[in-house]
Formats: sequence, C-alpha cells, structure tokens
Amino acid sequence: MRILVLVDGFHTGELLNTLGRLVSLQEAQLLLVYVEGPGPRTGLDLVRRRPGGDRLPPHRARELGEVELERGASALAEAQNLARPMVGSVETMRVRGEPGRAVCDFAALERVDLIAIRAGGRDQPLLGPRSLGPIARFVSDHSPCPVLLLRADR
Amino acid sequence: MHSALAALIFVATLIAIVVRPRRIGEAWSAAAGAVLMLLTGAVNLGSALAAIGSEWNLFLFFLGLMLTAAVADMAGFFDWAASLAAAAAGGSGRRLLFNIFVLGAVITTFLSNDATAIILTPVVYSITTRLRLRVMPYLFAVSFVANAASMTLPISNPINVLTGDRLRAPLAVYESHLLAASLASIAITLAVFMAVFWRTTGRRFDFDWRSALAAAAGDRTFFRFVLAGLGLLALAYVIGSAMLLPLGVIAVAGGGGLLAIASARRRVSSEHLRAHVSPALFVYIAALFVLVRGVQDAGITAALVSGGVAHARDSASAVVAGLLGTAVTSNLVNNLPAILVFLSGAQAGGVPAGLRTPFLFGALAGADLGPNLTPVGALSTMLWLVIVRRRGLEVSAWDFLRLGALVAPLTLIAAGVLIALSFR
Repeated sequence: MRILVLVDGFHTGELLNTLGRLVSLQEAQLLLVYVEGPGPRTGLDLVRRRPGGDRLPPHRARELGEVELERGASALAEAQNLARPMVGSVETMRVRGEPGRAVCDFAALERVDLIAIRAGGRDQPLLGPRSLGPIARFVSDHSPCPVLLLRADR
Repeated sequence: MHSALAALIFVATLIAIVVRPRRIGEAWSAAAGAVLMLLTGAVNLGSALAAIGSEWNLFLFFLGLMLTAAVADMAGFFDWAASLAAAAAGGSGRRLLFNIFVLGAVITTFLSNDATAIILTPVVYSITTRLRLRVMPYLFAVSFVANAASMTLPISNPINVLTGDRLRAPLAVYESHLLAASLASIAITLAVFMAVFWRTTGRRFDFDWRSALAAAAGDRTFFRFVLAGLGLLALAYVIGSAMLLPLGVIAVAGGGGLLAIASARRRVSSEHLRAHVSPALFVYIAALFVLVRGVQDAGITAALVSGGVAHARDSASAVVAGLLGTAVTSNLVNNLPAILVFLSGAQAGGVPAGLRTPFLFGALAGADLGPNLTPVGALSTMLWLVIVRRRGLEVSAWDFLRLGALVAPLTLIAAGVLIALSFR
C-alpha cells in the first residue's frame, strides 16, 4: 500500500506514531511529502504592505528562497529518520503550491492508496464543527483516494 | 462648485489609493489626483509648490532614513540584531517572540516604524524559517510593534516629524505628553501577543548563534563603523529633538555619512540602494501635500476638523477628538493622508488656539497607533485579504485582523487617558 503523509515540520513524530498504531506499516510504502506553500510569503507581503515596501532587496529575496529550501529539506530529513524504523520503504518529495491542492494533485499523479494528514490546523479546536484545518478540509473534499485524518491524542 | 470639485478629486484619489485599480501604485494614483487638482484650478501651481517646499524637512527625513536603512542592511546590522535576539532566547520560541518584540521597539524608536516593518520583517522571516518555527506570530509581532512603539521619539515615525514641525515642542515637552502613552502601548501590545501566541510559540529550537553572528557581520570593520555611526546618529536625533533642530538635516547627514563609509569600504551596491530608496514614495508624499492643499484652500479641512472638535471644551476632550479622528481616518485611508487632513484643518483655524496643542498630540497618537486596527492602516488590507481568500491561500491573516481588533482599542484608550492626564 502506498501512503502519502503530509509533513508539516511541526508534528511529524506525533503524526507517524498515530499512523503506525492504526495502519500496519511493515509492508507499506510511505511517501513523505513536504509542500512549500505560499502562506508564509503571503504573510510577509501582508506585513510589508505599505508605501516603499513593495520590493525585497535582491540579496534578501535570494536568502529567503534558500532558507525555505533548507526548512523543507530539514523537515523531510527528520520525517525520514523517524519513519525508517517503522516501514519497509520511505520516499521523500518536496512539492510547491497551495498545500491542499498540491497534495491531491500529487496523490493522483503517484496513484497513492491513502493520504494520511493531520486533522487540525493551528487554531482549530480538537473536536467540533470547526476542528478540521483548511488543508485537511480541502484534501477531504478533493482527494482522489481515501483520507485518514489523524487527531492528536489529547 | 470650486470646493465640491476639490472634494471630489480628493475623495476619488483616496479611493484609488486604497483600491489600487489595475494594481496601479498609490504614488501614481496620488500624482494623477494632484495633477487634476492643478488642471481644474483647485490649486494653483505656486500654492502647490509652496505646499511641497514647506515640507522639505519631511522629504529630507525620509531620504535620510532610506539611506541609513540601506547601509545598515548592507552591513548586516538587521541580521546581526535578529541573531542576537535568537541567541538571547536560549532556544525558547516564546522568549524569541519577546526578544523580537523588544528588538522591533528599539529599531522603531531610533530608525522609524517603516524600517521595522519593511526591513526587519524579511530578516525575521528568514531566521524563524531557518529555525523551523511558526513564522506568522513573529512577523505579526514586528508589524504591530512598529506602530506601538512609533510615538517614543519624534523620529520614531515620519508622522511625528510632520506633526512636530507644527507643534515646535522640544523633546522634554514631547516626552512629557507621549512617553508614558508610548510605553503603555508597547506593554499592552506585548502582553496581548504573549497571551495570544503562548501556545503557538512553545516550540524549542537549536541555534548556532556564534556562526550566525559572525556571518551577519561579514565585513567586521565595515560593520563596526556602521554600528558606531548608527549610535552617533541616534544620539544626534535625541540632541536635535531637544534643540528643535531640523531632523531631516540630521537624517540626511547621518545617512550620507553612512553611505560614505560604505563607499569607502566598497560595499555600495546600486541594486541594493534601488531596493531601499523609493522615488515613488517621494512622489506619493508630494502629491498628497498638493491634494490636501486643494481641499484646505477650499475650506474643507478646517470645516471637517472644526466639526470634529466642536464638542471639545478642554484639553482632555481635544486630545480625544484628535486621537479618535486620526485613528478612524487612518483605517479608512492611510495614516499619512489622515494626519495631513487633520494638521491642515488645525492650521487653517479649525481648532481653537487654546486646544490646538492637545488636539495635535492626540491626532499624532491616533495616527501612530490607529493603524494597528487594520494592520497597515488602510481599508486596502481588508480588500487584499478578500483577494487572498479567493486565491485559496492558507494564511492566518484574519488572525492579524482579530489581533488588531484587540490591540488597537486597548492601546488607543490607554494612550488617550495618559495623554489627557499629561495636560492636567
């Protein structure tokens, strides 16, 4: 079984442990995906949105691109180290785009059997009508395959 | 007819600045409005040139600030300061939020709120991304403290320079009315941030601060010269404010001096300067002066302001009238046109002579702190957020607005009370 796991760089250990308890991973192929989304950059544009704040100096623009790559590589390396003892095969992949859409497109492209994703967003309550984060909600609505929504143990 | 035309051009221009149709920058919308004012005879050329020329101190101040910020950035000052904040946090995301907040307050105090909001934010983005922390709380902190701390000194916000030219208040008088309000605003904003982001910033991080500090200050000699230059410039600002010297001249002398150091060390890059020195900003400000002169000559600003202070009977109510007036207007348009309208109205006799000083101090505080309600002080933020949502981007920008709704009223109330008390 090919399982796509969305790595956010914050809850990787928790996500993989919960997944490991629910699904037999010994025979599974894990595809760890990190999405470089536009959210943080959009936030940067928002706070710099004032006269004179339109352009980033070139050295700064280059630096931001580099640190974003570093962040993704580090999150995936951490996830890979955590997943290796649990599964037969692990692959990592970095994609760009709006996270929900990128995950669905990638899942269709790679013909994965299951998407495992953290259910809550940053500010979502653990339970209740607004407990799904925006990415989890989008993936649930648009995924080409079954989706496993993983909640934190609280 | 004449005043109706001037009002129509003024309002239409402000709408164009806010909405930015076809992504036309605010400078070009403002310039078009100013040209229309001239073509329709709402302002004659002599009056327009006089309106621009009389604000030479503000133009010089902006130029000086841009040069200073450019050289400080070239020397790695902002990266070094952010690395220092991360080092002092000892691996705690929460302490880093506190330190970034303090750093933002210090940079705003001595280099202005624009330097903090425009130059410090990408540096903070870079360091928090590298440390794999949530970026947004730290970016929000920088943005909010840029406004919260912008009353601390007369140079902490270009609006203070503009208002200071009318008030002619020496530093001691300025601080007697605004220092307590400024410190209270900073403290309130910090407390709200620590409470709201306590859980989100709980993550710990590893940081090799020695190499980060060394990398930030790449050319050590250049960095030390720039650090010393910034210290001297801060001192010159304080002395200049105390002696009522033109701050624009000090800013340009300081910025020019730093640029000379950068040239001597062969560290000046034209693309770097182009990124920091924005000619469009000068066009924007000059055009705003012409537009405001147009409505001032038509008697509109005086009528507006006199309507706003009609119920003010004493200093305290004049402070409140000024503060509320600019705070609300800043969120409808932007704080620069807002304060210009209020200064123009007060100058044109809209405020009784005895209430003019408390009114202007209140107006300054409203224009400095009000923008935290809709973060960049303009309705345009709201429109922008709608567009962002349509694009389906996950950005916690609504959190930004929610924070503003919490922080801005609290800081405005505290500032209003403290400034009013300072006139007792």
